[in-house]
Amino acid sequence: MKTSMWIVLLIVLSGCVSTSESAEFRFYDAHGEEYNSLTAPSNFKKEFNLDAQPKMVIVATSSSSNPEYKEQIDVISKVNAEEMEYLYVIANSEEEQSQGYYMTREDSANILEGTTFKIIVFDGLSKAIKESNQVIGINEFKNYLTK
Amino acid sequence: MADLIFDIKQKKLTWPSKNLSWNAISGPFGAGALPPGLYDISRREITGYTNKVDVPYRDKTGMGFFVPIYPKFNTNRGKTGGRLGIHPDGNKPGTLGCIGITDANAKGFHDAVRVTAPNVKLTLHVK
Repeated sequence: MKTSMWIVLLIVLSGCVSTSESAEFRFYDAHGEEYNSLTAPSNFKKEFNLDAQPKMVIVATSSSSNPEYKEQIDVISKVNAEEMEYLYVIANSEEEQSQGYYMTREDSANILEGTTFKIIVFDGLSKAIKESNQVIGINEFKNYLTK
Repeated sequence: MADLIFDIKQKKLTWPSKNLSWNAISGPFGAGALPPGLYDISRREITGYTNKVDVPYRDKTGMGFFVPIYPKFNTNRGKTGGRLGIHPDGNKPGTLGCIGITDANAKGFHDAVRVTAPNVKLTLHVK
């Protein structure tokens, strides 16, 4: 009985943590530099003398030919990342796209959780503010970036 | 050997044969810093040093320029979200992948490129 109560308590606590904690993931840049999502925004702010910690976006796909992925990248290319102070990480479970920020194939597959497309928008504190398996349009995307 | 070298970690753009150097950055926005490799600097396409360029391309004097660079390797960078180039790091600090000269006055770089004969092929090594 005591053990089962502890299990219930742990489940409740872990549920609370998952909604209030920042998300931790690893990613790399075109030079092979490794970043941790929990420290990258504050490190970028310091290194580049930014006004605020940049937001992050993960675009996860099972293939670079996935039409939803292509559509999302097209949306992203139309929303000025310098103006909106964000960076985007490609999580491709088929091949690592190492010309920009990217995640390993294994980590990409974990992000996808069996789906073929996912976008996650994080605020400057690395907290996920939107997760979707559908393409996010320009206006909605901008709204999340200004939250 | 390339004419110019951009060292991402040192945040320095150098032109060794002319003994010139500038403080510069690339990233962190968008897809981040320029990928390492060799690039052509399009000497013929450099704009004037002027206040007519967009604010992100102006230095602290209010003047600026843009010179495109073209990767000599296969990459999707620069094909979406704007061209790659070298310009003063105006407006907010940081770039989308271009090389942004952070010196308060970037005219020296502009003039060094501008006095180079248009038929000379300038190359850049990003490391």
